[in-house]
Amino acid sequence: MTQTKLGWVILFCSLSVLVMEDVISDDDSPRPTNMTSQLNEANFSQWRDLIRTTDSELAWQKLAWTPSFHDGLAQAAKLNKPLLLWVMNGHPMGCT
Amino acid sequence: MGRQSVWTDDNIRALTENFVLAADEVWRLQGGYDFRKYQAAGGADPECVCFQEMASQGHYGPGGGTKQGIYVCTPAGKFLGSINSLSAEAVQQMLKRSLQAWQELPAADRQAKPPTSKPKHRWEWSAPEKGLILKETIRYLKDGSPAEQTPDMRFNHDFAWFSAEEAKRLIPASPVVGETYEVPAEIYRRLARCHLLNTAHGEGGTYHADQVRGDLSVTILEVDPRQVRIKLSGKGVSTGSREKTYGLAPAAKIQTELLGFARFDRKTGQFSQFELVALGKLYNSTEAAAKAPADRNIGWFFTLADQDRPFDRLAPTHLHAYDAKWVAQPSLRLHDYQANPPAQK
Repeated sequence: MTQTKLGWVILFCSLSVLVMEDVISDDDSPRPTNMTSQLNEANFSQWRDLIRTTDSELAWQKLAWTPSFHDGLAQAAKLNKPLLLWVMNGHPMGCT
Repeated sequence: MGRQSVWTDDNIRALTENFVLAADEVWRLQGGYDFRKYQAAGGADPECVCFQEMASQGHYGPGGGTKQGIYVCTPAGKFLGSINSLSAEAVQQMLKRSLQAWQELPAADRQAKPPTSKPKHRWEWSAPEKGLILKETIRYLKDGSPAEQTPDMRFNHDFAWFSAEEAKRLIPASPVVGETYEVPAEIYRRLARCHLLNTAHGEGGTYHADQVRGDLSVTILEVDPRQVRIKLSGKGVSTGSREKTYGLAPAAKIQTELLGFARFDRKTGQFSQFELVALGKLYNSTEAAAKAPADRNIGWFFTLADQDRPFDRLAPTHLHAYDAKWVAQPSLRLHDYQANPPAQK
């Protein structure tokens, strides 16, 4: 292939890519792209262990929390103790 | 961070012996942004009204806005003290003052019967019987292999629910070892819309059905009369929109890949083991065309919740946004939410 022909082929391919990108960007719905895969059977347990929590990270859960305001009031009346209520946007023991 | 900085402090742990401890979600208790609007609109859940009256005397006062924090009250709901702080020292001082206020109360006030605070609706009540109840951990990740990283100190938890019928749809009627099957789209959609979210350091926006695209498939690894062992794998991309939030906060673009392994007990009709890891590439924009990646990645890990632990029975944070008929909605909806976007005209 001569240098001139090769140049036309490269130009044609480049324009094709640009046109394709325009077509894709007209549609704003999401679509998976070619993300480099990082997750496989060989490293699955390493990723799992990196993300999941350890017992020491959950030490604050070892206090005797009741899971709702109403249950806490009922328990406080039963034990004749004041209620300590911890409230967050999202449950403090869940996603907050 | 308060979970670790306050409640692991030795002095605070000792002080808590004097109290009954409770934790709860505040948005529902305070009736949305402003409890006065909630009550004016007919909101009257006794548990919520009891909290609203008590918390209006606390650190954020009676106006609108979040009421999150730590409160001390009597069993009858009488306010004794409050604070919203990550400082163990400041919380300790508030607890001491509140305890003193409690001790100075007349005995009749200390022994007053609790108010009628029995709730009319709680999200936990929709927990699916014999369903798939997953505990989710969310943590930011760095670039590179897992071996090169140490866990980010901050993480978050949530729960993902699937009814027994939905969970069974993960297993084909006649599984064949080595065959791969596509998981029903609604399973992937629920994970992507309500769980594969940027929530490692706090609550974040969810996606609508037309904002997530991806697939999840099941490969059969083992089959015998007692159980079926499967591999789950998939990938997807979710993109929010600042213009089309439909009442939910806009969520940034996330590109995900998923891999997991599970064991289904054919006798009980339930999963006996379930582990699913998802990795996400975060972008700095809500838009589908976003190309600039954020400076961190994110990971999610799902496993079976331990039903013997009270806090493993909490409801998913975005249960209100599930497209599931088995979720009981409250009479007054606090989230300006539509399950599906309005039909295009």
